Parts: sequence; structure tokens; C-alpha cells
Amino acid sequence: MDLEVVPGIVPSILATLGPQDSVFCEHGIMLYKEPQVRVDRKNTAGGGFLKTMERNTVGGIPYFLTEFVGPGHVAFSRDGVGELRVLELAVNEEIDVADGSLVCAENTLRYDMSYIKGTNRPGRMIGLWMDRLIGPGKLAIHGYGNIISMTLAPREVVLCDFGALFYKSGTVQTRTLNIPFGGGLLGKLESFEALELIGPGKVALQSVDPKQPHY
Amino acid sequence: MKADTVGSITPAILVTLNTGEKVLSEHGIMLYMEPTVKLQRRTQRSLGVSRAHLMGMHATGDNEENYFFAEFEGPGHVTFSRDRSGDARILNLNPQQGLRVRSGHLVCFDESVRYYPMVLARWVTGAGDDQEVNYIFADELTGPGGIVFQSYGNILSFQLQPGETIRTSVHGLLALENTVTLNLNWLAGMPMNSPFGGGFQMNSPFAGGMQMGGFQPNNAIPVLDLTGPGVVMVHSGL
Repeated sequence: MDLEVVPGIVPSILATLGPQDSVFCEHGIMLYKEPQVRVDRKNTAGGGFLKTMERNTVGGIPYFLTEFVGPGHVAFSRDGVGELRVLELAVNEEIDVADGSLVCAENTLRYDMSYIKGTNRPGRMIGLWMDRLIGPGKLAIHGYGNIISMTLAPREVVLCDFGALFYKSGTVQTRTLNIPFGGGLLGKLESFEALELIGPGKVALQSVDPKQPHY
Repeated sequence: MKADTVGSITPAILVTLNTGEKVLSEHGIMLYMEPTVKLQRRTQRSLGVSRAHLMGMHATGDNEENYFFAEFEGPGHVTFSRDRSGDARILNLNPQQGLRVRSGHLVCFDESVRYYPMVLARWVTGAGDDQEVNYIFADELTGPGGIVFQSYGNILSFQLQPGETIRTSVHGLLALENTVTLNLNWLAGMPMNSPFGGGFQMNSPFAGGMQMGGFQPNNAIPVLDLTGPGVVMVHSGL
């Protein structure tokens, strides 16, 4: 299987599938496919009815993923201005990708979800879910805007906006916190909600929050 | 401050701060920062903007004008993003050099820069119940110090000679030096036989200034005449 980036302002990915090769993606982001490519449904990981309802309705994680089985070509696009990255994960290597950024992944990868707790204050009572992918295999991910990558040393910390996190290694720990915006009650009320990312591992940030208008 | 643009399509601004160095930005546009950077609240009043002026700006409908800025104090790195496609400009203003940047485009500025929000232009469209007052708000920044702002789309920059004039759309103006004179004029409406219909082939009675109220062709187009000397920047996005 091959994943090729078709560059441009709104890039897309062209997957070339051999016989019985398959990729999965979120439903509705396919750009085109050749007729011989078969479409199947792939169920997401369980966790019980309530857990599923919570992450689907609140977290925006889909009920089902779509699977494309070769041979043939299939192309995907996230319909956003940005950059695409193709990553290859080693056996048991784990990455967490921001919700809405996974373009497609080889079916040899294990799909799961990870949850980052909210700050328990109004507006951020509920945290955020990320797509977790566990190697081996290739995947393509879309960063909105430009991608800023860094490698954190053990216990090295960086603070970022919620919408800025694009992907991180599974080894990078996360913590949500409020950074007071000055002193007093006003400082607490207006505090900046941030994500603390603690190394070791790779971190990539995106310059556009996909949940904000960014035309 | 030392500022660098990261990326091109939707640029982020990476600011490197030395110990005790401060940079101010709108609250909520920070992308990431190092834990050594201290975040504080800074009121507009502490920047020399009077409460009466701010209330007046709000009364004109400038609801996006913030009462506070976020102040980041070094040492360390902090990055900002306006979450939009466009072109970023990093400028170092000389003492007393003033630049008026359209509201909503300022990314960050040095603590040494004087900040003052203002109304650049005002015009009225429609009549009776449909009458609408429109404003262009701007942030006036006076040196010395570094400033960063971002356009939506590409930036076209013009160095006007004394007396030289260019005409821009009211949406296209991004920034102008405070030495540039701005006048609001009206382009005549569409001819009667225009496929868009309903207008007038006439010279607008509103040419020559910032007139308000009264009759005007309902499809006349407000434009800005900018006369040098000084720099004018126009952007291709909205």
C-alpha cells in the first residue's frame, strides 16, 4: 500500500491499494475511488453503550469508520487549508491524533480513542477525545494551517491552546489547566485554558484551530 | 522582542523573549508557550487608553475591542496565530512612527509601543428603517518597538509620495501610516440599464468627504481615497 500526498493549499491523499490492502477513514471524507475498490464498515472500539454515546455525541468521534479494500486507487481530503503528513508507525508505537485530523490509516493499525480530562470549569467541563493509532502501519493526517513539530525531552513541558494540538506520541502526557489571566477574581474568570504536554516524545501543533472559522 | 513567521498559508508568529522582556497580544490567540513565560492581564487603561474613549468605541458598535490585553513576559518562546489564512508582517517602528492597523489584524506588539484604538472611517448606507452606520476601526501603534499584524489574503504595499492618491475598497484597507490622509468617497451607482438594475448613472452627491445620512443611490459603493506621504497596505481577503 502506498500513500501519496497531492500537494496544494487544500491537500489530498492518494492511496494506492494492492489486492486485499485496505485503509480506513472517517465516513464522508472520500474524494474519489476507482470502482473496483470495495467499501466496508469498520466498527470503532467499544467501552459500553454509555461510553460510546458520550464520545459520539459529545466528543464528535464517529460511530463507524469506513474501510476501503483494494485493488485500486482511492483519494481523501479533509476540505481544509493545511498540510498533510504521512507517518509510519513501528510495532506498538502509539500516537494520538486530534479529532478531525485523521485522513486515512492502513488497516494493520489498531484504532482506539484517548480522552483528555477537562478543567472542570464552565466551558471546559468535558475534555477532548483524540484518535489513538497503534502500529505497525502507515497513516495520513491533516494539520489545519501550518504544522509546528517538536520533540520533547523527558519531563520537558510545553503549554498550548486546546485547538493547537495536532498529534502527539503516546508517551507524551497531557494535563489540562487554567493559567490565571492576572490576579483576583477576574484573573480566574478570564483564565486561559491550556494543555500541558509533558515529554518525552514527539508533539506537533497546528496554526489553525479547526473549530474556529478559518476561511 | 524577536519575532519570526512560521509557515506560510496560515502563518504563526514565534516570539523569542529575553528575561523581563514583554509582549502584548489579544487574549486567546496564543498557540503555545514555554512554561518559563509569565502570563499577565494588562488593562487598556494601563496603556493610556481612557475609559471614556473605550466606552465611546463600544458605543459605536466596536464590540470586538477588548478591555484587556494578554501580557507575556520572558524568558522563553511564545507563539501566536490568528487561525486564518493570510500574510504576516513584522515591523519595527521608529520613535514617533505611527501605523494604523485595521482592527482584528493585530497579532502582538512590544511593550514600548503606544497603543490606541480609533475610528478610521464612518459612513451611512440605506435610508429610513434600513439605515445602517458603518465603521472602520483601527489600532494605532506608535513606535519605538516591534509590531506584528496579519492580513486575510495577500498584502499589497504602496509607498505613496506627497500628494499621491490611491483609491481602495472599504474592505481592502489593512494598514496605513499616520501621515496618510484618508477620505471616504462614493462611487456612482449602476446605470439604469445595468443587469443589476435599480441604480443611477450620476455623480454621487457624496463625493469629497465623510458625509453621513441623506439620500444616496442605493447601490453606490463607498471607497477610501488615501493620499501620501506614507505607506498604505491593502489585503486581498476579507
